[in-house]
Amino acid sequence: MQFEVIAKCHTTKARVSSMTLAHGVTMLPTFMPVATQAAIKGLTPEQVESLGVTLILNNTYHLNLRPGLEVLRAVGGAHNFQGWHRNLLTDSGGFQLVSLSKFTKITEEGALFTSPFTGEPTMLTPEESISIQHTIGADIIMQLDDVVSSLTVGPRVSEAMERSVRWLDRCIAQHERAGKQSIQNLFAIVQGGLDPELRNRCLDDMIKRRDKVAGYAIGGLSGGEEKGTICADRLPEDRPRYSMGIGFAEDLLVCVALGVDMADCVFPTRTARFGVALTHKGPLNLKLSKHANDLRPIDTSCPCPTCTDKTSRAILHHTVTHETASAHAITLHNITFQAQVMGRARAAIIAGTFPDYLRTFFADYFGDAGYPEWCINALRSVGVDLLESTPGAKVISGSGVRWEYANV
Amino acid sequence: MQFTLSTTKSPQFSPRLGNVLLRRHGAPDHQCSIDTPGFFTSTSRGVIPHLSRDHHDTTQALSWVNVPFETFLERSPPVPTLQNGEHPLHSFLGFRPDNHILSMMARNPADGRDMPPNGNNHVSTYCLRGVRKLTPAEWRLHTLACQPDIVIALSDTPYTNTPYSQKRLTKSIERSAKWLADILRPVEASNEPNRLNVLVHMAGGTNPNARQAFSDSLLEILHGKEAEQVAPLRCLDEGLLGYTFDLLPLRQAFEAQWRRSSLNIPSPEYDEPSSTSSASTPIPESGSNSSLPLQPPSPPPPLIHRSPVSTSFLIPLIHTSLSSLPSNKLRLINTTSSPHEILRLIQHVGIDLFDAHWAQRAADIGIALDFTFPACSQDAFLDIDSDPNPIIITTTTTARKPLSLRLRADNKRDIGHNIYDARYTLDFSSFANCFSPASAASSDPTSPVNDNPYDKPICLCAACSPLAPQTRICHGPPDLEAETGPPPPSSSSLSGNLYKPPYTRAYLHHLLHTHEMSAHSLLLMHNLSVLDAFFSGIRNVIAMSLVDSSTEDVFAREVDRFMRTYDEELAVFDEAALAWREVDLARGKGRLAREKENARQEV
Repeated sequence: MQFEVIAKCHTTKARVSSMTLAHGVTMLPTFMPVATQAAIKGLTPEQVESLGVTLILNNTYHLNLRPGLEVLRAVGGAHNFQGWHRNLLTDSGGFQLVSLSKFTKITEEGALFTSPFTGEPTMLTPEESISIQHTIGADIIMQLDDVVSSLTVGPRVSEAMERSVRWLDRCIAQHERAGKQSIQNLFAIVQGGLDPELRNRCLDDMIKRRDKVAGYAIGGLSGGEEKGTICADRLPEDRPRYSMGIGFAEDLLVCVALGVDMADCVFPTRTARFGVALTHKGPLNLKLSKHANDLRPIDTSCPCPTCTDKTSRAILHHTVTHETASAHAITLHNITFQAQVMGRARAAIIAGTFPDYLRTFFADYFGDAGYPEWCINALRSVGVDLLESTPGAKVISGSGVRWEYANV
Repeated sequence: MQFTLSTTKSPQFSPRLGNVLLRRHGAPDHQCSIDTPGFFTSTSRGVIPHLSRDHHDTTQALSWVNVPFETFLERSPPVPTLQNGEHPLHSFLGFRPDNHILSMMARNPADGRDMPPNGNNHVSTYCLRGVRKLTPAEWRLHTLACQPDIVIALSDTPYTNTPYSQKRLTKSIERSAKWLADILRPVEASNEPNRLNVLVHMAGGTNPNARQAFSDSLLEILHGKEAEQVAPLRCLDEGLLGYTFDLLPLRQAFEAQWRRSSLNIPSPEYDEPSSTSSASTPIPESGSNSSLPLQPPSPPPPLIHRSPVSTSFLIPLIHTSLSSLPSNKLRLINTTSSPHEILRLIQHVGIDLFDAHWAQRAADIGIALDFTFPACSQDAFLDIDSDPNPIIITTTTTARKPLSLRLRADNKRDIGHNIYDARYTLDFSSFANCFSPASAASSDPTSPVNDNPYDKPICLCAACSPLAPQTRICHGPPDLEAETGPPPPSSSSLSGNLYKPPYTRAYLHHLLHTHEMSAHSLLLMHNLSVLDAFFSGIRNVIAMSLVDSSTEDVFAREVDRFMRTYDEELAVFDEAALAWREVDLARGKGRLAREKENARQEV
């Protein structure tokens, strides 16, 4: 991997960098759409590429079940299999073991789970995870970590953190044994729940191994307010930083301001299938009957194929959840929207106007509905006051997620 | 719009070549031209199922698109009628006036469910929120507002309890003629062509006398008020671009008659069934349901409606309708059930345009079509395996050849692959054996297109010949990010386009079993492309038999060979539909509710 920081924001911790992998250059910060089963739902890889996306994510857990390693080996990896010839990242499979299986038991050796095929107890070890990811062949691969819910408290949190560090060593060893360091890039995952002390300890241990890892991911965060606690700026400057499972526009921009380079989430594509189109003025729930006669496109200034073709909200309303074609149309739009949010961030950081961009974005997106309090606080911690020019603006405590309800 | 036959001297009911040419008002350079025999694609709720709008442009097989309008009646006024601009229906649905001919009809011809009776002045249409009445006056208004290129006149096709009494059929043909007169009235707006392009459904059901009577009413010289209404037309037929036939209601009527007379399925030689049976009694619903999962809790609708009514029952009825009418008008058919049926209707009737219903359904249920006309030579099937059992996958199968189509009774091949089948797990070839992907063609741009090792036609669909995107949206600072990166590996350049390697059956197999929507997009684009090649093959053979009298029966010979080569029972459709249902139950809509219910029952 070639990683080069090109520009830094003068106020926040945000930065623009270029990351060159075996399948081309990806400019950071970026959002990665999720192709869980080796397909962005409803789209062809050509469509995804035409949207300006250069890096997508596959899930190791799912690809290991289907199509299975034999198929991936035979075809020469997931790039060839799905016809995606740009950059690809795989997770370690650990998260799905916890989220999808009630019966997973974590031991020092690895994660013991019930095979969904045979029903037999199966062990996923750090070595096994890495070797599966080698077969998949993604440009960026993740260590297996011991995931605990961010709601967990007590000794389990520190146990998981310490075990994740030990598993990182085993992943590094496996990666080096296979001699894949020059083609595939292993990322470490910083864990430690919401406890800053634990998280810092984990960080120290992981930073010690910096010469053996290509980048760092921040895991164990999902809810809105928690992002304020991430300490991305303690991570090595010369390594990409990846915040896992982040996808709301406001979360993305706060993370970028705190120094994060990459993020992924199923939210924009999943919400599209339920009929929600993301716009710079907040989400549009196209299932609502108020859109039924609206002949305007989702966003007249959007460069996505759906909007440039002037697909009306009315026809989307007419087809949404009945015809998959509407899911495709909104998915094309939402992926473009995410890319726009990040692309404009890159442009603003380079132009030295990132704090202005943050203020404008939040004013457009939350102006009427009210600013989420946690965003205001998180951005204040890096020197940006969202309320600077609008001191009387409405502020909402809690997650403050913007949604379009039927009664609005 | 005009329809021209290039085979003027052929008999009334024989294969014929023609051309539909649409010159747009005010833009004489822009014209849509469709050679016939050809096909059109149908929409559901106004969209082609599985396609995004950017695929409209890349799918060259898309030229005529038919829009059943009834779902838009859910709102009043229907939303498409609110669209402004020059080509309202094109704009609203995202089709290009330069490339796509749009026709509009009231009802979905593939929906044969029982409906409340039509009235003297309305048709019962099916919407999500129930049944809506549509009057001829409203139909005319909607048509004028939407400006489709072609409109199918409102007609009274009953979908109530079959069979129909003579009285009912008489009503049907009288109403249909009256409603046709309404849509044939000249359009008042001065700068438009002053009459719509109208097709009419040939009414009369399975009763030859009724069918004859309807045709006669089209030719009847009108007098008095009726004549004034459509002046200067002397009879209704003068205002028609052509005739349409919906096969589904005909089949349903036959089936109902047979059930009533508790006969087994008669052989095609069976005498014309009597249609004089009187008052109808409730009969279990028959017919294929719409592909929309409208009533999820009720027992699943039949996935593929396989009717025992063969084409040979339908042909005499179509003959009856057409025999007295001018033979130079467009003949269009809805809801054919197989390529075999299409060939018979071309051979014995001279039908010009067909819907793609079964090919679109094939994409819904995981079938990649793989057939040609004339039937693909045996070379493409060198590795025929007649083993009916799925192949056990072993690790040594990586370099295997493309799997051949399954053989059925009488050594007939399937017309496509059921990609759900486990034997495709490791099949890394492109979808069809009869076609090759563009990337397999010589990468030397000077060599002709067909110069590929197998001498097979190239399938230009987005699945077999995916085009690397020519532009990518640039989101960041353009000076920094305008680079497009390296070209994808093993892509090849053909007529200036950069083609990527084809999507493989193994990938499609994976997508189908993981319930990914992309599977059906790829399949539909492929199937339409195969259908397009099928019709182009038909036109070539007809042309051949016209040029030279010694090859006159070459079309008939090729039709025979096609019938001998490909399985008309479409067993592959049944197998695929079952597999589709299984995966849909395990992974599709309502899965969580089903799992909860199962868990509850286990406890």
